[in-house]
Amino acid sequence: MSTQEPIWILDSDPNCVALYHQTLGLQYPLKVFAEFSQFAEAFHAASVSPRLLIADPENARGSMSEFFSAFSGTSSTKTLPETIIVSRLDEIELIRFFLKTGVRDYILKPLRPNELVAKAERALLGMESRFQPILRNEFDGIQISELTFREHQILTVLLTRDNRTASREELHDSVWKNMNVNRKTLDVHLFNLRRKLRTYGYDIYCKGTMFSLEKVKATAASTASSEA
Amino acid sequence: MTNSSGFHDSSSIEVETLERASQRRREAIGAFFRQQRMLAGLSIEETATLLDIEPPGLLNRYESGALSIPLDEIFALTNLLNIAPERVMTLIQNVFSSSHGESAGNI
Repeated sequence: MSTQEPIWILDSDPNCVALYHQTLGLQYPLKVFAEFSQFAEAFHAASVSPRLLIADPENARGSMSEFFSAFSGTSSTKTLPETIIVSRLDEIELIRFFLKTGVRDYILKPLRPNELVAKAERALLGMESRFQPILRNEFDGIQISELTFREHQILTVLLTRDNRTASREELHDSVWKNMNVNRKTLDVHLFNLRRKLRTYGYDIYCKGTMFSLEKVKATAASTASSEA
Repeated sequence: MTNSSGFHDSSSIEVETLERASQRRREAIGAFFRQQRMLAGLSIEETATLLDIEPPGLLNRYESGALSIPLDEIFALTNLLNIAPERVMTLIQNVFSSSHGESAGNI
């Protein structure tokens, strides 16, 4: 999901700037402006519009009219880039105003790192705002209920792969992405998911490092009476 | 077992009973996973590699009952060896309920 084009930040609050670097800055190059004038100058000079702009129009030194003049008027040939407004102002008319202009999102300060990163990623992907179910729990005419979020994610990965087969690494990376989790965490979720799938006649079979969603197979081992 | 005064110490007997019960649980669970591993056609070394268990001798100690198998390793073994999760849960329930009955009789 990374891009080489920088995310533009318009914010003069040093604490917020530090947060941008500590979160988004780990995955994307950032271009930070503390003043409207600097931003407007860079914007007009740029050959292409930035892919994403995160702006606090109230906090950055300058005025609101300067902010919008950067995108309007005969002098500008560029349209408003994907924009996320960040602000301490929780005024409904202001929020309505920005959303009407077409900004992607309006995030209230103090910023929450996870929210900031998730919404920036969505904006960079250019995803539509309408609800799109991306987790699957329905297949072969059955719907597996009572799945946790992680179990849902694991099942979705398997359902969207060829032959419903994925490697341990694929499952781990798809579900936890850059998060650092214990390798056995996947096994815990797989165990519970397998338990639920088996009530519907399906299971996840392991061969080496590959996992495959299949119908339950009757084996000699499953009928052996070896429990203590 | 006697204490320093030469009398039978009921708490010592209880501890010994609990330790024996714990040993039997470990052995029962270890033997089950050893059998399942062999049915799956995997060697100790292969299994230890696939599960990132180091050193490989540790898996041997789990299967012999010398050490308790950590819960996350139980989950990992169950998945790797394609054992039905409910079998493992039944095994653990049976092992603990039988050893609980044994130790409870000595309270």
